[in-house]
Amino acid sequence: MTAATDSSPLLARPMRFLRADIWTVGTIFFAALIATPILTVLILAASPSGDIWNHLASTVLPRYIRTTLGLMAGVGAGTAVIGVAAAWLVTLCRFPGRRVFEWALLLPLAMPAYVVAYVYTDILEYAGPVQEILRQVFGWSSGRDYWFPEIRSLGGAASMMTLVLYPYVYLLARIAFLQQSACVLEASRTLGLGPWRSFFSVALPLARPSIVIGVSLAMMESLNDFGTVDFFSVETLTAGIYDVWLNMNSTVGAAQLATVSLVFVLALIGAEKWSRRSQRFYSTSSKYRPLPNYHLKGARAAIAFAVCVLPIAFGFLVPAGVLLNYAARFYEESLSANFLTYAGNSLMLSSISAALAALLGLFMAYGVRMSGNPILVAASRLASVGYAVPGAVLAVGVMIPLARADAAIDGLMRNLFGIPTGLLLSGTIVAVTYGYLVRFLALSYGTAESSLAKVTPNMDGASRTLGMSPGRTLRRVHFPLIRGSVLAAAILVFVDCMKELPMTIILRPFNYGTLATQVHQFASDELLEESALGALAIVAAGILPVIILSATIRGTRPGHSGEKG
Amino acid sequence: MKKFIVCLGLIALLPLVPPPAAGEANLKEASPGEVNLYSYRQPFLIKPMLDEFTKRTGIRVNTVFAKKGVLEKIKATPGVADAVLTSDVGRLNDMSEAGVLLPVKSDILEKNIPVQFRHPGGLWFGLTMRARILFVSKKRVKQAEATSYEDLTKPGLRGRVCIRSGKHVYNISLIASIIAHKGEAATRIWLEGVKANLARKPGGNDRAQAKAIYSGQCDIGIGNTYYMGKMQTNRKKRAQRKWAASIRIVFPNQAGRGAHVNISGAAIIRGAKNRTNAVKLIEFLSGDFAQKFYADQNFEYPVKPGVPVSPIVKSWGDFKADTISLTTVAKHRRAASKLVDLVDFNNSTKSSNN
Amino acid sequence: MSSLLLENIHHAYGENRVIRGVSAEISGGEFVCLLGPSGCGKTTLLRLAAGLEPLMNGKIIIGGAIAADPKAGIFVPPEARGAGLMFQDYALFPHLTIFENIIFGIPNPAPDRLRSVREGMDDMGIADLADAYPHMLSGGQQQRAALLRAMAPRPKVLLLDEPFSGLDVSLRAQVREETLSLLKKTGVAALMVTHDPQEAMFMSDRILVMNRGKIEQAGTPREVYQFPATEYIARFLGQTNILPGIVLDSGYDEIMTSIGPVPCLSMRGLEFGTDAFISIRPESFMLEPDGPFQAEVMGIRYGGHYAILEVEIVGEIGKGQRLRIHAHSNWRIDVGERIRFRVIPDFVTVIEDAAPNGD
Repeated sequence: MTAATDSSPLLARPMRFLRADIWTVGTIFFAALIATPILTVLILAASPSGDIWNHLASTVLPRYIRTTLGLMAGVGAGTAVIGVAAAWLVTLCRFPGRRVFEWALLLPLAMPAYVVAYVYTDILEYAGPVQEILRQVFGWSSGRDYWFPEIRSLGGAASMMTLVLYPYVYLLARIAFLQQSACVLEASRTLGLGPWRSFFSVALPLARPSIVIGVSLAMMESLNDFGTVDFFSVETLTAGIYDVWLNMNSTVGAAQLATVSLVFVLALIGAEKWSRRSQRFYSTSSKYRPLPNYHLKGARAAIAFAVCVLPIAFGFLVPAGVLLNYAARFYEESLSANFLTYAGNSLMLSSISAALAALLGLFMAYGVRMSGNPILVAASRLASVGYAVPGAVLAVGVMIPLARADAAIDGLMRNLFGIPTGLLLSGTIVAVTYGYLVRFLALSYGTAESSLAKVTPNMDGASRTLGMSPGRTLRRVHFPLIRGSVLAAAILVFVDCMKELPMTIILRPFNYGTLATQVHQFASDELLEESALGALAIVAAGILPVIILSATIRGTRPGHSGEKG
Repeated sequence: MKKFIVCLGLIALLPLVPPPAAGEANLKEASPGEVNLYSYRQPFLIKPMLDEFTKRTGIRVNTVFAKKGVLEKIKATPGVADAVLTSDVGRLNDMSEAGVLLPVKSDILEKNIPVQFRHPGGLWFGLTMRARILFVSKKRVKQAEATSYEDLTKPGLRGRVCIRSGKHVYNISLIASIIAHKGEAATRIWLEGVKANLARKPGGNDRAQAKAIYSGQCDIGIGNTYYMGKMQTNRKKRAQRKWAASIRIVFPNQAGRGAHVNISGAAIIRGAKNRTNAVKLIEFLSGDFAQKFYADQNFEYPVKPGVPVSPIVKSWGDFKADTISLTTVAKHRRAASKLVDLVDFNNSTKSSNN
Repeated sequence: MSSLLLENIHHAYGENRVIRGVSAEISGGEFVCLLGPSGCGKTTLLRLAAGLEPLMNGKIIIGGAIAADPKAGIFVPPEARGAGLMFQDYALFPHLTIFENIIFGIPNPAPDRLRSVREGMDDMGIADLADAYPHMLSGGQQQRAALLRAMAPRPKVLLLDEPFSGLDVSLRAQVREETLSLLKKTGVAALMVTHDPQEAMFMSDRILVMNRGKIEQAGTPREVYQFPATEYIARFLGQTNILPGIVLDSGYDEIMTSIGPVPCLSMRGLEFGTDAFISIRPESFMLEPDGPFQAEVMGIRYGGHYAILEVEIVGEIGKGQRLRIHAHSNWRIDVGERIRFRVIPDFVTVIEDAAPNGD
């Protein structure tokens, strides 16, 4: 990589007016569409909520915020360390098992956090086998005789989430490392820095934008998680939102708390932007030599092996093993007649949503790149905060405008043609798909945005001056260049949709179920064993995409398409 | 590349394809032979009863199972759902306060359901009853040591009590009933007393409290009656039978106001398009077949007088239930939730390390 | 008909006015260089012409059609302008082969177009690399591919942004000639941006020297070099001696300077008696035993085909004035020696504003 050229970014100069081309109009339209439910929640939050706010502020709000910050910090640090270390090792080092770790490290992604929480509670709580054995071995008679970390705690929740969320960081860091030119690393080595210092002073800072995105995704997921924190009674903002909503019967209060959590997200996004500041990371060099491979031997290889195998074991193998065991014993109870239908529904909903999210994310990111107009940038940002809003709250935000739209369409159709259309949107899986998009667009938009940012604007310029319209430039230049990232985003969305619960439950039509709702109906009645089959099916459905994902990012290394090796 | 885009595009268009039969019910207004039901109760608990209902009447039941957002859904799309089934009186109360319920006058319902288990204006109807009781260790708790909710604050129980999250709807309901009887100040002192006695930070579910007692982490827990029945009779999960076996059931406050009870219930939604069918469904659920099913399969107490409880439940003996109006209890839920916040109940400083 | 017409272009990034009223015209078959230091706005001008930057003020006409005219609300997008642009970093698409890169701009090429592309690749010596990917090519090969790619759609005007700056010196000369011959063969009008005066003079039919957002001088390489209009250009294009002087009567073709009268053909129409400065290029001095000026050699540098002498005037007029003089390499002169010389008028010009110094 050489220093960036002195050419200014393509059309990225703020213009004083918006041009009415399809990209600008389309981006604004989609951004508005996706932001509507979020705005609905904000509008809801603007109504008075009685004395709830006083109560919250004087009692739990500081605690909620403290706990939430603690959780986010824990998950952020945990996912960053595991994700970056594993990505660096499998990308630049050679040691036994590396080829398997490359994809296996992604597996925990398919595991719902609350399932992992259930499994580890069984294992690690006082009555669980671990403490049981400890007590027998050391002759302790009760909990007063020894110290053991309490799993139902903030630390426990952060650990559980770290186990299933680190793959975000791993994935993005790995892509970033793969896309780094060997030259910068070599330059650093020739300047007298050892491999370790080269990593910390060159490779890591260069990969930082991707890592920061991965970490902030993980933190946002931890922010909106309810299943785990509820099970552990860890009082985060999201737990508070549900409490205010369901126990104090105040939708408005819940929306207000959700707004507070949005502030967290905006701060996070702000921090991410700030960390990038004016740096631009175009890969200006078109020369890519094979990345160096550090051959690890002996103790080093063993350490590398452990660093990679532990997250896989704890984040996937152990919970999957427990689930498998349960599923084998309880498949009669859990294999209802609708199981296959539910699996089909899950697959279809998730594929549709993943495809739509990938297309919309790419469209909007490209639209923003083309125009650079601050209005567009802000709109797209707003459209991608849905990721951090607790699903059930967001579902309410989805439901209200959809129902309004339905009423409007129904009235119009009745008046014009005498045909009542009923709940065309809110009563069908359109609502669920829309909900998923609102929730997960951040994944595909963020990925598309950051990978587009790595394409030098001169590529746009070259294509445009060679007679290609913006659309054809996207198709012929950008898309092939960032195809891997777009596919990666689609797969992330797919896996997340498979796991998604609260929105599916609230927005689905009558008699409609998915694997996640199947898991939920048992899990909500404390029947983890019976829910295992469904959970396992979700995990299984996630494995193939995850392996494809790994193969895809392998190919994201520029120049890989042309030559083997 | 083109193929990829075309593929993505085709997949993206899929939602426009009308969904198969199941989802179609709500595209049109429900046909006369249907009833649309929102259920807080798990499908596997109610499906056999609904199937029987359909068999007898020919009326198809379309269901959505959800535990959150139901009230908002009813408000946003009025007329879509006809009836709602809940597992707690609090939800019914929320809905009646929100004005989304339709009053029903039905001789069958009034005959089947005693007056304390239904809304005076016919807005909602209790279908089953459960008590929130004490699970106590057979080995480590003496008969007289804990006989009431108030006993849980006794100094002798320091470090021996465990409970699920104070914010859980079952505990909120219990706390609300104590507020209804004794006022907020006394309830706060009670909560603080329980907190001081906790063996560990509140968490897990009701069965987890039994497990903790079995393993010796604590001696006394709080749980719903039917969980005891489910643990005692669990064929496949032998461990749960062991947990249950280590526990004695104590119906609290038998010398006083009686044990706190809650109901699962049903209501008709304002604007219901299939009102008649919906009333038929609730009537069916209050009838002998369904009441017996609830009793046998889920170890709940049927509300209909004369319907026998299951043998297991019978073996626990009769108990005196708190007769305070459930509507009154429900009104204190918000206060109960706030008290839990005020005493910081869920952040017990006690933990397994003591 | 002009291929590219720029009319009174203004452009600013925020408060920073990078282009301040530039007008220029490039005709078919012409090769014009925009020469200037980095940051003078020349690349911006190129991007404005290509349509990669929205025009704020002025008018751009390409091939007779208005490409941008903000006053009339016209902004033709880059793909519809018929302007080819070759980037400094070549911007070859890394996911396409060299051949795919080159035909990128002609999506459904007719057989004759394909043939001419193949010929071009042959001429440029990259025919064998058709199926290679950009990262497998050397800098020079990438440069040729980028040039062919920009030329393939047969643009009305070709814009080149520092096309040779990434090449090493030995390669640069060769690639320049190849590029020129390809351009002359196709007859396309070309506008090249460069900061290298040698390159500009070598390649251009005309040079537009830009400084601080304005074109300071336009002319053939010879005109610009021999008769720079400003001190800035005089110094930017090569070594020079700047002396203060007074313009003499029009009949004389001489200017009175601090070292005495110097012949000068370019008075820029200044009136008799006006104070002015003159620029005398080092090659404008001719060593002659009976030349009118006498100086002592203070230092000698060897420059290959000439020697650079640092001299100090020893005559009465202008005593102590230092000058830089080129002498043919065959002269054998030592430091401390006295030489005599005269000034030939070919590389002497009056410039409008300058501060004298003894550089």
